[in-house]
Amino acid sequence: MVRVRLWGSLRRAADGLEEVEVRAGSVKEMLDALAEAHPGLAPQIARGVSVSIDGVIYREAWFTPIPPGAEVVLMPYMTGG
Amino acid sequence: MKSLQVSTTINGDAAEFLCAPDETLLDVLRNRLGLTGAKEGCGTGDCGACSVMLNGRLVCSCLVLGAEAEGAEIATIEGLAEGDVLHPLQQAFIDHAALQCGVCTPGILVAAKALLDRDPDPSDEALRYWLAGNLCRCTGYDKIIAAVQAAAAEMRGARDVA
Amino acid sequence: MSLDEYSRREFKQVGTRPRRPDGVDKVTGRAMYGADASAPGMLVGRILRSPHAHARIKAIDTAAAEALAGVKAVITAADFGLPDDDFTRDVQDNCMARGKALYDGHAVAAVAAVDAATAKAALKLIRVDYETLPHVTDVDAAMAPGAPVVQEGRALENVPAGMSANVTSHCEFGHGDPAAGFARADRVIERHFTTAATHQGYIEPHACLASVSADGKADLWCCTQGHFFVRTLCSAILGMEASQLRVTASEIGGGFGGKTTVFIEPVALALSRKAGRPVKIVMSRDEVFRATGPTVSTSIEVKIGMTKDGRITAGEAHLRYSGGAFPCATVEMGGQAAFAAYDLDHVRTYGWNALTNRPKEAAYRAPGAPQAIYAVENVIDELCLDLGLDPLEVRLKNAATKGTKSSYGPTFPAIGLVATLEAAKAHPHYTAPLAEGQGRGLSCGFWFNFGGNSCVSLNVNTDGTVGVTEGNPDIGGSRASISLMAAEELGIPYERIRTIVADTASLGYNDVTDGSRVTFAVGLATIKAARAAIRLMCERAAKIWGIEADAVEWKDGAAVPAGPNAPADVARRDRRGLVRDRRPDRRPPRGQCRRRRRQLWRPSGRCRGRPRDRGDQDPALHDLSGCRQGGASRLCRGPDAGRRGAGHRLGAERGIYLWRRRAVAERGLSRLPHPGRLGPAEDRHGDPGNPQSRPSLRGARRR
Repeated sequence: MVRVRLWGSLRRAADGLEEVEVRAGSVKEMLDALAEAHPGLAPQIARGVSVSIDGVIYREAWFTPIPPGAEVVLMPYMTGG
Repeated sequence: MKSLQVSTTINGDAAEFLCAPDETLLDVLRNRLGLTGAKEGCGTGDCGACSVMLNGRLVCSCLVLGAEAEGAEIATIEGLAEGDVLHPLQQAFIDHAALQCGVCTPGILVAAKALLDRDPDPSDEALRYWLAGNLCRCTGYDKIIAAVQAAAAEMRGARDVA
Repeated sequence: MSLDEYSRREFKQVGTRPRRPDGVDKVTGRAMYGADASAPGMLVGRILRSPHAHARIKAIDTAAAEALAGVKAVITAADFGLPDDDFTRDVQDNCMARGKALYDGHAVAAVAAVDAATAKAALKLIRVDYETLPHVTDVDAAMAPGAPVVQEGRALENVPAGMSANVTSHCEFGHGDPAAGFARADRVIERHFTTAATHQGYIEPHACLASVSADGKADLWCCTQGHFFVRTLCSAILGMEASQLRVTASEIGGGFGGKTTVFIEPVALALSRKAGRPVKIVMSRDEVFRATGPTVSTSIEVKIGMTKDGRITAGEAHLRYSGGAFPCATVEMGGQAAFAAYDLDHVRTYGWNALTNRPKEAAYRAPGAPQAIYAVENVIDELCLDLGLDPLEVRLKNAATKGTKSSYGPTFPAIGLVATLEAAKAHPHYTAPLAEGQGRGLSCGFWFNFGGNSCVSLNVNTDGTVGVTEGNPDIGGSRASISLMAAEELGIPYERIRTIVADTASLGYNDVTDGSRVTFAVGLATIKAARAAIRLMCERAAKIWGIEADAVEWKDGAAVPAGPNAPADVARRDRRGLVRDRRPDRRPPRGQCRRRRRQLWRPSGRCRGRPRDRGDQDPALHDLSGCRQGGASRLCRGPDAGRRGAGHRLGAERGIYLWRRRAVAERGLSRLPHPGRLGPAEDRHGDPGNPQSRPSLRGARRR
């Protein structure tokens, strides 16, 4: 199981939960599981999110494995200048 | 509008061109003569990226009409190096990392050379005032000043030896 | 690659200050920028822009302009399709207004003509029937009830009900209970700040040259921070397949984030398609300021509580951003970055984006972050002033460090803020006496690194030099850094590497040059490529020498037999072979003909003839026994190879060995850094101890 921390405004879309747990081994599996378990998150996931795994931010990294016990934080899709 | 025929000397070579009466010298250089070293950053004489020498005078070529160049001697960035030997200013800009994106660099080099031609040993203050009409967005100006001073010192040394 | 690997590693090239590879071209005026390209038969494109901040476009009559002699094409929004996704549609609508002009300077029509004067005259003949509408340009005014609505129906699902129709998104970050934190403070200060939609101000205006042929193939030359993204956007807008649009990035005269999208490129392509000729569009400075991306304009409230001894007890910010007339998510970056420099128990940021009748925002140096940080840092400074505290000490006391739960969620791995503050404190400038009129201040800042997709091709040339092909426009000297990293890994001099930025048809997808990602992410791809090349060359050397692959090591820019598995005489024989090989009078080794041997000695290293095709093996690896002519990357493996010392060239014929010899002889370098064992090098990039993300080589994201 992966514990995923949500940013503030996403929590409303996930029954007020700050952290949700899904069964997933990779980033893609996690995002799919999140959208399924909490349909309110689906629009944001479809628009794009970044994922922080143990402090390393990934943008497109669907197949990146999520190690057991990793700190996983959902973040908005990062862009820069 | 009927085009005008203009005869000039550019970087020591005779050059003739046709231009519209309202066409700038910058447009002539870039679009008609293929001398794209001078850049248009603003078109209003604010940024200095289009600096060239016109009869020994530093000008913004975006503020000069092509027709005004009749009989004139023009020097552009393309004429600064001698063959494959860079001018000390050009070399100093590379050595001192005085450029980043480089789009302002041709104008700054032409302007700096104009100053050193009249004052081989300018103070930093004089140099900064002189280059105030050349905007650089990337590097900050310190490296540019350092590079020009290094080139000036080298040119003075060469002159002393000569 | 772990941090430890690098902290222990002694760099030979990285950290030196070589001359930038683009230097000579840029000081001689030879470098080609966006506006410097031309093509035979090229037309001049010009764009008609709205004089109104907000107006309905009731009709556009282009007949008179089209009838003007010398005009080859006139286009309006009607010449474009309607992309499905909001993101692409917004980009397109910003390039050419559809239905409404949303800001002063919004493009409404464009012409292509034989010269600039004709194009200009044609613009004056276009009749646009506008119905002017009330406009709003201030973010707070735009969020107020009854404000003119810039665009209807653009609010995301996260916007609370009842807000102005201009509010398009809402976000919230943080943890803890700010109210409880404020209650514990000795001093709480709350201030309001506004920042303007300042422009990136690059000296080079946007410029492009588009050429669409009758069979639908197109070329686009432009100044951009990301030509692959330009291809993505333009092919979507023009309804083309990406493969048919080749985009080449020119030298770029500054971007600062502002050249991470398109403004004129789809217009030039559409004009070229209609006119059947190349079309060049160069923006004037006036157009740059009126119609290209500034940063967001903002209105921000910040509230911070502090104890007498300088501990921040809570921080809260309300961020209202406007990215102009189109929705943007920049406030999310501000919301995450505002307090990210500090280790706080109670922190909360609330962000809103609102539409205004201003140009569409484009990224600008850590988009959204400096505005929020500016406000936070001001309040911290004021608290320090109020409480008589040293602003640097207060920041040290509150600095985020390894293990801090950041205000945007993740726990920080090792970060450098404390070290940076300590260095600032120790710097002579921090205590130098101030003259009258001088001041001194400091501020903490924050930005993310997200890696991003990067693709690099590294080729060992026939003479042993190396070409690196990358796909990110070089806005700050990255070609030099990439060359340095390749040189470091390969153990060859920087000067023997040339890094170029390739067009979109020549390399895999690369994300935009943005977010300070290029030296990091493209650098990692380069290191991977260099290690892969080394691995291949070592494997080939092993085959040539007839020894195990793990008995070959890459050292000083050359493959050498090494380790307990390497027969001791291989190295000796090889050295002898190299020396002998350079003697022109030496007989060819058995199994090789004289002609081949002569070819090896040629200074150019060039061999005539075609490589023998062996479909059953690595196409670059050819069996040369019995005198086969070979191509550049051939290896020789004759029956006597390794025994008679034919001077085995590894991919590079002669160059790599020669470097090694030169390096030792001329520079007295006894040992260049070694990349370590060449196992699956890529695994090292995923070290979780690395605070940065790694680049992935996966396909492009559809945005």
